[in-house]
Amino acid sequence: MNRDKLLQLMRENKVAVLSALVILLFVLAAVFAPFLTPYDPKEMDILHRLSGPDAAHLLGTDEGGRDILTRMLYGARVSLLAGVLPTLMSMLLGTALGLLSGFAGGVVDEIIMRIADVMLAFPSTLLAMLIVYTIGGGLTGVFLTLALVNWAGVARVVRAETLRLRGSVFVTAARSIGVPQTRIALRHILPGCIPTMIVLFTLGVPSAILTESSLSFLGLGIQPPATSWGLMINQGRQYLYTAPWCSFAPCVAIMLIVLAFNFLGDGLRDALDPHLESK
Amino acid sequence: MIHNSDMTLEVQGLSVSIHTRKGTTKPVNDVSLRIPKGKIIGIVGESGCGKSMTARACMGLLKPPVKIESGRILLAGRDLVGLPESDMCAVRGSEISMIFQEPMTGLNPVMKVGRQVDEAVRVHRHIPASKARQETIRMFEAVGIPEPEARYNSYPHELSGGLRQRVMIAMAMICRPALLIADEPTTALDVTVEAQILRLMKELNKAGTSILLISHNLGVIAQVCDYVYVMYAGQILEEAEVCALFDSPLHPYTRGLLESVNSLRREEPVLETIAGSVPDFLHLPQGCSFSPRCGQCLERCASGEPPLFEPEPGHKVRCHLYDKDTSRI
Repeated sequence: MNRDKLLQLMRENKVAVLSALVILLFVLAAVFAPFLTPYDPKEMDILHRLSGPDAAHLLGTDEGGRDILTRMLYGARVSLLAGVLPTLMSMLLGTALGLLSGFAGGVVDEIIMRIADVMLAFPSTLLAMLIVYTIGGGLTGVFLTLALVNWAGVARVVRAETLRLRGSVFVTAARSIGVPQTRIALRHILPGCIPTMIVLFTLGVPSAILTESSLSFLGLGIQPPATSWGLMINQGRQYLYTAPWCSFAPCVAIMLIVLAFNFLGDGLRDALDPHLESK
Repeated sequence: MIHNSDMTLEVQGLSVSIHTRKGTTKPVNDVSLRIPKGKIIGIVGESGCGKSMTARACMGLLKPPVKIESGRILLAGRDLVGLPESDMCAVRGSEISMIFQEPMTGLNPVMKVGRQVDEAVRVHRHIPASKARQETIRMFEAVGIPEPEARYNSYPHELSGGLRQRVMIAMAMICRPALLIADEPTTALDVTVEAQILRLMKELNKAGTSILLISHNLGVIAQVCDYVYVMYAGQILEEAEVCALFDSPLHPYTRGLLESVNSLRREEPVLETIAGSVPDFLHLPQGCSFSPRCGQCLERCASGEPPLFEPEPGHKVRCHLYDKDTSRI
């Protein structure tokens, strides 16, 4: 895609550009957290616990007297990483298996899909506990759980897309000029799945952020004093009436990032689909 | 059998079967075709008579549960039946190619058309991308695509139906296959474009490619074919030189087909039709498959399947009416 076209697309889809900026802003904030705040995210200050927003603490402090803005900045590192990295891993695994399943058919298809069924039917919290007890808690456990839980859904959708595309005339036409099966799968079918995969990705990221927070709440994920947005919401839960700012700020952050990913996904799908491009 | 070197493709006793829970059907039943070098051969018949299935069998494009039951498909003397997929990939596109009825869906919507045509060259000859691109542009020119360089970077939805069909033909022809199978190539196009595409196919034929043209349009067949096969319910009912078939059709079915063609000079107000419809493959009639719809049905048509008779040299017909051995009537 050349530059003029890109600029034109950006003009046409301002919401997507705005979403991308929001995401970029969050990423930059997470990366440069130490330079943006004078406070330490873990240091307690009991005298100022649960104080409301003021000039010293823009978003107030939590039950340990820690600056909420600071904790949000550091928590963004975990939340964003937990949203993107495991989703990428499960996309990769799910796409490979879905493509193989839809293309090979027969026994291979049957085996992969039955494993996917088991994964989908298996309670993810239980799986998380198993993983955490086996390899230990913390970030690695959470990431692995998120990746393992989500690939089955991706595999299903990619398999369905593969089956749909495999039956289309252009695949038969490609076969009729002697294109071998693997090349058909990679050059004709995989690109056809990309719009679907982008949508899956943008839905997967926010859901992974939310799952991470619920795992952390159960004590299976991020361990205090480290933090993530989900953990902050849960910690502020007890003070909802007396100090609502504890949960409010991370809630807004999650909402913003989830919306931003969804709008960006829509925009990207429109940009990548040559049918819509011509309009 | 000794191979006749004048034949591009010879199909001998081809039967295709489909196994389903309801039973086994034979959409192609003991079909024999001969496609001599440099000729255009037509197969004509109603929808569902097995034309496309025969073509796909020749390309090795049948998918389970559809499979070749028996017969031989000889391409320049080599039997294609039972050839492993990797060998078939080498044959498809370089020795036989096929173009399809649907130029709207026959091209990958998310790939530039030039890249799709390239693919055939690159798969078969393993040449670098820049050279493949040159060849594609040259081929675009040969099939009459205006501004070939610009069109190389077009997506299918940016082209008209006629241009897409030309792209499909370029894709099929770029490796100079000996045989082009055209499955209803003009059905989805309007008549002026149809005429252009047919002219192009005739040009390709003059340049040395044999063509198997499948159509339900008798006009198209009459315009371009040298020799015609009439198919019905999976069988060849009649075969003849194109003039012989249109001047003196023998089989009642062929006559019915020709009578039901509209004509500018026609005087009767009502168009002739063939009563009834194509039989269900699961419940084929006993004896001659056309007998329930035939106006000249004999007693034995309902019991014994007729063989191919040859009442005139080069003109064969599968009908008891032409049995010279009258003692059996």
